[in-house]
Amino acid sequence: MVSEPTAKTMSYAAALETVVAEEMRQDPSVCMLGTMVPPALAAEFGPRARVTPISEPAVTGLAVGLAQTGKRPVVYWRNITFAFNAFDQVINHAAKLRSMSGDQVRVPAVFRAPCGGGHGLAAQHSQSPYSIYAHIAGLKVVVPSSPADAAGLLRAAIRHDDPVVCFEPVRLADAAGPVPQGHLVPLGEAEVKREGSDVTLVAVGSMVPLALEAAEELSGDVSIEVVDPRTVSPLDVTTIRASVRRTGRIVVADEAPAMCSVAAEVVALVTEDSETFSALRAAPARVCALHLPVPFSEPLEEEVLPGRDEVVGAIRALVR
Amino acid sequence: MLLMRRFDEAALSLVQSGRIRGTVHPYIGQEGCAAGVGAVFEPGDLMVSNHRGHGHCIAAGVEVDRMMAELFGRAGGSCHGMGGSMHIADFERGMLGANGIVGAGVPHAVGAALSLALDGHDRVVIAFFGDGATGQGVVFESMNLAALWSLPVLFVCETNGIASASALTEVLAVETVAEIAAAHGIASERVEGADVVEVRASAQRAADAIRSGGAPRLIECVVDRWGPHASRLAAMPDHRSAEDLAAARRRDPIARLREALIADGTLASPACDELDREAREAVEGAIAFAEMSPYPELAKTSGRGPW
Repeated sequence: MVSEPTAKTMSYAAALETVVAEEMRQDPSVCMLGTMVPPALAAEFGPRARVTPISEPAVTGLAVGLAQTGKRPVVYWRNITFAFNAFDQVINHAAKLRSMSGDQVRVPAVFRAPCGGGHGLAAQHSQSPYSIYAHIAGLKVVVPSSPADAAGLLRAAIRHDDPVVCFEPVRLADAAGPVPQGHLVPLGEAEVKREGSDVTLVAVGSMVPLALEAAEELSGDVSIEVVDPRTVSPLDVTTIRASVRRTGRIVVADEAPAMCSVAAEVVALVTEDSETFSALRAAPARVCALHLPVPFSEPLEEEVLPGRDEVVGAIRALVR
Repeated sequence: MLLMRRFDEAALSLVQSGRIRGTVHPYIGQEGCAAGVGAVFEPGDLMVSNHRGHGHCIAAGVEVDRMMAELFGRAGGSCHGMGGSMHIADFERGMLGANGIVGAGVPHAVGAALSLALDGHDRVVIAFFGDGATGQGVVFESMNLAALWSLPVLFVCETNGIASASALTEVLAVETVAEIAAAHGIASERVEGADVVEVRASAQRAADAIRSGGAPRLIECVVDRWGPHASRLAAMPDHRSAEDLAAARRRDPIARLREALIADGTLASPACDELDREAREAVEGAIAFAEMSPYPELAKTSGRGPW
């Protein structure tokens, strides 16, 4: 009989840090680069955990060179904002070298990108641009929504042989939850976080806890199935379509704007499949951020980013 | 050098006559640099290249058959036709890749050097780039990191005086790339790229210093690019006069070596001709190899997923 792995309760942020340390411990090819390296990691791993200058293009490019030569670098970008400086290295190099070299080389690099709003950091530091990265063939993109998923997806990303961008919504940093030891979440697998029969609510990243709250709030009237894609590229279209075929309705909730978004892709994948399309009893709806730079001022930030109330409102409108 | 010259003459002619597609960036005139630096390249060393990479690939030992098949987009190419001229890579030879983005390979070299340093290897990573890449911040950032961490990188700047279509003097505030290295605490030498013997000696000094001490070095090879930036249908602007180009051709690194070898009795003139004939035959053989090679199938490459 296999015993249940023990689970520790920890925060989302702690889960991510713990996994980096555990993976560095069990695989000497894992190394870490970042402008901020936890002192405990630096003490334990010495030259494998490197404090870097504020040079995102070079540091990201170094990760490509490390990955090409057998290492598994984890680059901590600190905020997706700074990663825009390193677009060339991610998009033109990390994402394409395997293909362009005719499969001679893999680039097993992980780029950790805290993202999203809610902390009053204004427009530059409150973005959720995972769809920009998901658009690029050759990159995989994950957006964990709980401490367990954070641990499981980051561990899978570090062990994966192609580049992965790990988006970490800052609003979830302090969220606590159980994290099973050695937890591994396969890339590309969605999870049904709550089963239901009236509406499929696909929620991404920071919207997942809010979606679960909304589902609970409406539970007397509407049975809501909450699906978390977890990996936004590649998207687990099978799980999403299967859910929509059961419920006949879909709402997608994401704190990124709807324009050219993951939410847009989810709706497209649902509607372009004739069997799923014929199961629809209502037009798909999206609950996303307004298409605006996120304001600093607190009430305005709340107005621009979607919340639980918008999710509840969208669902009520759908089942009316 | 002869193989580099004949390969790129053929590549230029093939693209201009429409037998191969895309573009090539001919290395003609600059061969002294890749040949001189490549002479100190040892098994286990690594190399990154730029868009003008055919000479570097040959210097790393990549077979011209596989290079030419890559230019033809065939399965027999070193990248199975997935990369073409600008992306030739051969990891078995330590050639981590030519590169279509100016300056972008330099941090890869520094990352590879960090990888070697973490493993405690006594190896060198050669980073070829052109003087045009000095407009890219990532090159400076990479030099800073290599110097900061004493990584075994040999930066090799091929200064041909032209950044794509602009005169370097129009786009660079300092006169030499060696000055840029000095600003990062990197020791450097500036050599005449047409003198392959001197390039080799300089590269040997740098590689020896790197292998013994680990700190990066830079060589600035002053070279002549005879041809256009790239072979395209529309001619790109070229500020150079006919006199400039004629003078560049008079500094031919191949003719210079040939004269020196004949003068000191190492090789007689017929032996030099024989070497040239062998180079031409190798390139003709490479074209034949490429044309015989089938086109690749998407299903057999990462072109078909897992994305």
